[in-house]
Amino acid sequence: MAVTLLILAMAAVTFAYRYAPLALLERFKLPGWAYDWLELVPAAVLAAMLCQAVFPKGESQPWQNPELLAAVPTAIVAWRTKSMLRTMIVGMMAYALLTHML
Amino acid sequence: MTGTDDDGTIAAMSTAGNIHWSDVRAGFRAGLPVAAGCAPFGVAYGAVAAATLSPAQTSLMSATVFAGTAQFVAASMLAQGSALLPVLLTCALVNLRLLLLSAAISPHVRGLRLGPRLLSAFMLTDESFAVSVAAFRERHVGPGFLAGAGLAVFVLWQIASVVGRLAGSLIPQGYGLEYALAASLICLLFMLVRNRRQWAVALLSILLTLGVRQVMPDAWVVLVATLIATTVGLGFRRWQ
Repeated sequence: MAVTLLILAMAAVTFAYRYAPLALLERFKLPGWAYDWLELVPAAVLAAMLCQAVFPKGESQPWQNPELLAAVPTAIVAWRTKSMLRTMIVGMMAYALLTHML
Repeated sequence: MTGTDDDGTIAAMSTAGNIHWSDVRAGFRAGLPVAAGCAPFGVAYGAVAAATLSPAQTSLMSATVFAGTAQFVAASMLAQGSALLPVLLTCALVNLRLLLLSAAISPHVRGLRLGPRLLSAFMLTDESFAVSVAAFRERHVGPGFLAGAGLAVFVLWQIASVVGRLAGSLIPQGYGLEYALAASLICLLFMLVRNRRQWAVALLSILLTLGVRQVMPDAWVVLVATLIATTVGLGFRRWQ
């Protein structure tokens, strides 16, 4: 139930962004630095979440954990193919393999 | 049966404030290829959502929020056990970009009545924006084009999230599904990060996350690291 409410709140905020500039009669303008700043947001959010995913908290030897090691082949495939499907398949296979080996 | 392009233009002018069906159809056709291009994102979203959202909630988010990156971020944060308020705030931050798109497209959909205006706003995404701005500039299409292009994205987005949600619940534990999130984040980074400045911000954000999570509850780490990394990143002009 709480999650459903969260989804509806996200929907309301998102729709407000889409609608407000169309509804305002005056021309809607933001300062130049705001454009600059917004360009950087996706990179920072994704990187922060990736960090949480590949460095599990409280891990004593992060360089030996399967999450981080599996990220190497995954990143190579992502970089070369830019294909979501192939990256996910290789990543999941590498991770399954590494958790069996380590 | 709709008429020729000429008929469409005349009809669009004579019914001021409405969107014309022929523009919607033209937009839909132009939007399909880009819509197909973002379907893999929808599948990835559905697969990650399988960890914490019911099938109904997964589709509810796709049908009401209808914004790829934010949905993906929300599903990922929930999968990592985040509290709800940080998810909402991060989503609000990620989607701020829509303000810019809406402002940029507003001259082309000006003068619509309330209903068509609400519909056009809802159908605004990165993909429908890109297709429509090009069409508004180069061809004489009416405001309905945006809603049509958005509709194409909307339809494929719903199908893709259902497919992803199904795939997520079909793959049994222990076959690496818990790594689906990390893998899709890595792929998204390589798809969305376009220049050295953004890579520098991404790297900074990783380092900040490692530091911030020592001193702060997990739920707030992504938001705080993002705010600091992007603000510092404003100074990285030279790496553009």
